[in-house]
Amino acid sequence: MENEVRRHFDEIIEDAKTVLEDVEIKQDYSAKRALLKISGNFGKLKVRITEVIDIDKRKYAYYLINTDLVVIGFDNAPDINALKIKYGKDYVHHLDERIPHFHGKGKKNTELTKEISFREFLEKIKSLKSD
Amino acid sequence: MATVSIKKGYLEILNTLGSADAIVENALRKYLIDKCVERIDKSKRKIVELEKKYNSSYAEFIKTISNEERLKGVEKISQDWEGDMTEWEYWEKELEEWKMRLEDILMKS
Repeated sequence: MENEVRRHFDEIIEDAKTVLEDVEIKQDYSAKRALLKISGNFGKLKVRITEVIDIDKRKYAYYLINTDLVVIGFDNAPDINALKIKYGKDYVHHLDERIPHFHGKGKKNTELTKEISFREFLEKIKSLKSD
Repeated sequence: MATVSIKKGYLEILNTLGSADAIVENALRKYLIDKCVERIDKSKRKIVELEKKYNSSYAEFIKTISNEERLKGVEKISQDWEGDMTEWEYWEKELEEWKMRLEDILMKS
């Protein structure tokens, strides 16, 4: 598993270095899982990403930040607002369920998404810059 | 039992020190204990950093993010808490598993 995960993380790091400046990388590899954290500058904005490849799942949080406020973010944490969109009143039965979703500016809106890759996140933030 | 290759030169020296099998077994055991302790310490350090940031244990944090009102408090500390939560879960699992590995080694001796 480890070689495959290292290749996956190497690809993310390479992509990050082509788009972001002042990239800082932290990695940890263990028996059953691996962790990658990257931060870097995207123009005047900051990108912070965390990705874990666990034995059962890829867990991610990809965020574009302006000072301390979210500009956009994609993650698959068990977000209460995303769970409410998916399950309505039954969300309480799914509080530990990871769910891929998107947050807009200031986290004022939440939308369900498919699982997204870091490359897709980069394409999204590049498209914001060109808008 | 698995078989591990050892350089002939090492084996000759080991044999002068006593039972090569016993020495290798002890050396491996010590190495594994050191590695377990190293991982346990690293996991604890990372967990403490996150506990300080959110003034909460991981279990409390998970409860907090499941409550809309209390989640607002978390988002005042960090609006992109999802990255921290993902990392936190990682170190909690690591801590648990390396503690179990260490316990397993110590129990078998």
